[in-house]
Amino acid sequence: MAYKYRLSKEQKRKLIVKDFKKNWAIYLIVLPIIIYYLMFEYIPMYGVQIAFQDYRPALGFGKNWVGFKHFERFFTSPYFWRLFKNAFLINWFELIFSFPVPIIIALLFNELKSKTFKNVANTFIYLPHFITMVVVCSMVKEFVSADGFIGQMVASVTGVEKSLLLQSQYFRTVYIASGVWQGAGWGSIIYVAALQGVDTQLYDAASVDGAGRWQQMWHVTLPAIAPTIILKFILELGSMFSTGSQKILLLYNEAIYDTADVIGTYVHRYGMQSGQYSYSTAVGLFSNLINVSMFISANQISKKVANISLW
Amino acid sequence: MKSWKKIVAIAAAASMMSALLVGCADDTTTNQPSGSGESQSGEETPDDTSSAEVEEFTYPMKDAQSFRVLGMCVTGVKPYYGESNMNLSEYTKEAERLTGIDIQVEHLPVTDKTNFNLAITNGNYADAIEGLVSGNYTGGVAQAAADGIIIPLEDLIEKYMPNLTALMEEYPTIRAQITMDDGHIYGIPGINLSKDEEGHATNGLIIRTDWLEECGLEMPKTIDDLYKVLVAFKEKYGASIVSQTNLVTQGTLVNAFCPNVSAGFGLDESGNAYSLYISDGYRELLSTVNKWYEEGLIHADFLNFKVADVRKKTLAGEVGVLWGMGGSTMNTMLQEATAAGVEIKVEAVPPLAKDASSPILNNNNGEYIKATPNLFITNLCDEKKYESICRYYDFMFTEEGIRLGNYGIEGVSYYINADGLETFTELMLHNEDGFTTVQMMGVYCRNHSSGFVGIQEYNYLRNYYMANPAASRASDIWSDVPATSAPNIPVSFTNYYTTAEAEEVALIKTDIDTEFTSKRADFIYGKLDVDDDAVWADYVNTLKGMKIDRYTEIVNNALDKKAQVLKDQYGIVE
Repeated sequence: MAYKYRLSKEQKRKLIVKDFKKNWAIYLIVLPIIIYYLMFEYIPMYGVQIAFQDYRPALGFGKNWVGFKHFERFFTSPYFWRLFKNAFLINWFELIFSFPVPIIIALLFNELKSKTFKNVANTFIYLPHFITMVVVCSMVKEFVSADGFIGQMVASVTGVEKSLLLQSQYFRTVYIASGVWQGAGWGSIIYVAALQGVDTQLYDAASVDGAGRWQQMWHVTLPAIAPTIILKFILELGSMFSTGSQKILLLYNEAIYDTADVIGTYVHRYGMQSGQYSYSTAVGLFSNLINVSMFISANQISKKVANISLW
Repeated sequence: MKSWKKIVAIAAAASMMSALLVGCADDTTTNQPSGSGESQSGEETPDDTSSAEVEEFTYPMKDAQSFRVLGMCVTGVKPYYGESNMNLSEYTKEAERLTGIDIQVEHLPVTDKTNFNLAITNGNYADAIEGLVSGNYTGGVAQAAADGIIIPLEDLIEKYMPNLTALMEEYPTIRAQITMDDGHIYGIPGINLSKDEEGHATNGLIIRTDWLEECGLEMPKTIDDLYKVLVAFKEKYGASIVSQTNLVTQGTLVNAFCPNVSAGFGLDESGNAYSLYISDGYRELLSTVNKWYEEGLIHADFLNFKVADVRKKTLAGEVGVLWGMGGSTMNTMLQEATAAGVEIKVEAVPPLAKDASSPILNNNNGEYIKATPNLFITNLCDEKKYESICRYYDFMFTEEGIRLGNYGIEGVSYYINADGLETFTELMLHNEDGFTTVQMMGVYCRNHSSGFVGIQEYNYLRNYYMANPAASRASDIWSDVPATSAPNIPVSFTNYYTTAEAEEVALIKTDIDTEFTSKRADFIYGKLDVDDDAVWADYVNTLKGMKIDRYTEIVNNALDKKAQVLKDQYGIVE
């Protein structure tokens, strides 16, 4: 777009060489990241082939081709729909409840006048993010157990003295609420950063036009961070069927499989625990295919409706 | 200014690159010991190998080849030496000294399926593998043999392992238990050799006897008795049963309702295997536990507990009856109680009958003589090393070796008492540096932990629990069943799966276990009514849809095949 005229191949090459000579330091910085992605994200894709084989570690890749056997087994599995339903519901409620929280936090911080207070408060709400997931989950388990303070609070209302993590109807609440506690502060950083870029003249102009604080927020602040919100939203939609299974693995137990078991945990049980590598790869691959298609359609829709997209 | 930026950029890039390369660097360091092992063995290569077969063999072995073994690390080594490395342990050093054979133990970063299979895929496994194969190799030992990872050993055993051979002649069932479906032996066994009169149950129910006395109640003999005790404890102390999931998977309670169960299967009167999951006995058990839950007699979170929670709650006085292991629950708990100054009296509960008219059913775990194939020689191993490996492990079947494996070093970790029995010293029982008995056993012994080779003597258990009389009695009490009780389903039947059957079982089992464990929780917590016939039929049909009948059929085939082999080859009728 920068050049209105077409360049010959030779000219292009020269430009690239020139650019490289000038900015080689920046290219150097990018290099490790490219290598990282090649090594850990692209080269391993070679192993996806085991979804179509009866893979055995001793024999290596490329043997025992079985076509779609493992996919068929998954499609006819009694857990097929449950896994999708659970993943979808967890993500859906996450979208409703935890997605807006960082935005609200960022907007509130934006309204604060005292800079010191803003910085201190900011730091405090980031802190939970730095606690390891394992520790967070053991804390959650303690708190919601029959003897824990949250568990007892709930028990005093419902009369059921049992860990919330043994009652499947509460799993999503526990999962999402603890997620908000841990992640909302950290998640707000991106919006806070976006708000730094808003031209203060816009606020001045708005107040001259007679807009109050509320109207300023509505008509100046929000539109300014709208692209960021939509981009985040697209990314969230892209992972609609894949949930952070690490946290669920740490929290769930057999009594709540009916709401807590998602594809990630299923893959873990079948792949890591019982060593059915091919089958679990097939399941994982299938869910990734769905995620990619969700992601692309969300992007297309946003492009059409709001003219904002990732590409 | 610009050059400054460049320097920063180079530095940043370099540091990121180095971070990236850490993974690779790690690989090379882990490879080092193996490399040095090879070179060492190279130096020690004797000029003539023929001299090895001259006359009577004696330890220490001459011209021994050093070999590498991929093994497990026993509990206690890490806290004592600060790293998980079996080469440091007194046991390994003493074994090397006595046999004259240099062994290098290598460990997986984490002992699990993934790391084990990664090692196999990389071809990065040692001359021999200790323990890990049966549980971690997809498809088990039979599959590993079919894939050519491990080699048949019967000829080597014949040639280089006179002590094991003699033992197998004395107890033919050992050979039967470690022989696979294809007729080969792939694993040198670890043998649990408890004679009939000795205890062999390692877990069961434990009860607060001080409370029993205060309530004026007797030690329960039936499930109904236990119920009365639980009600009394609940009223007087607000206490309940506490346990891990194991309460409903093994030991006293399960045995009261379902005879002769092990690994999800039991034997009926005609000797056929039946699935525990859909049996009427198990339904009764679930119904009983559900009743206890409804009445608050069992801790609501019990499916979520770890053994440490169980000990903590018991010491806090919230528990009257618990399920546990003699060692990690009872013994450790009593040691903790002494340390914390908590006054507590507990005793093992003898096997319970379902009601006054029912007989007491078996309460042991599997066969009286249990041989587990534990040491495998891999296809990577140089033929020159075969003899050294066999001699090293055959030593574990000599009297000296059995003592070492069970009790450690005489005069240091044990002495012979007046009755002629090996007895742990104070170093093991009341360690000055605060190490627990089991941790010290990790330093000096081997045979208490899975993956061992040799013979596990019952006397080691007595020693293990010796600091606590109640714990040391436990195993005897739990094993106290009438001689008439039928034997459990033998654990080693899985050796008799064909590779195709083993694969099929792996597929069926994961589905079934998921369904069973989650429905079990629903039944216990009353979310589903276990007493409702329609609900139960629905559950059974779901499991049947997951081919539980086929699974049972495979198990029965394996049992038949095993009985046939025992009868034809060894003349044993079990």
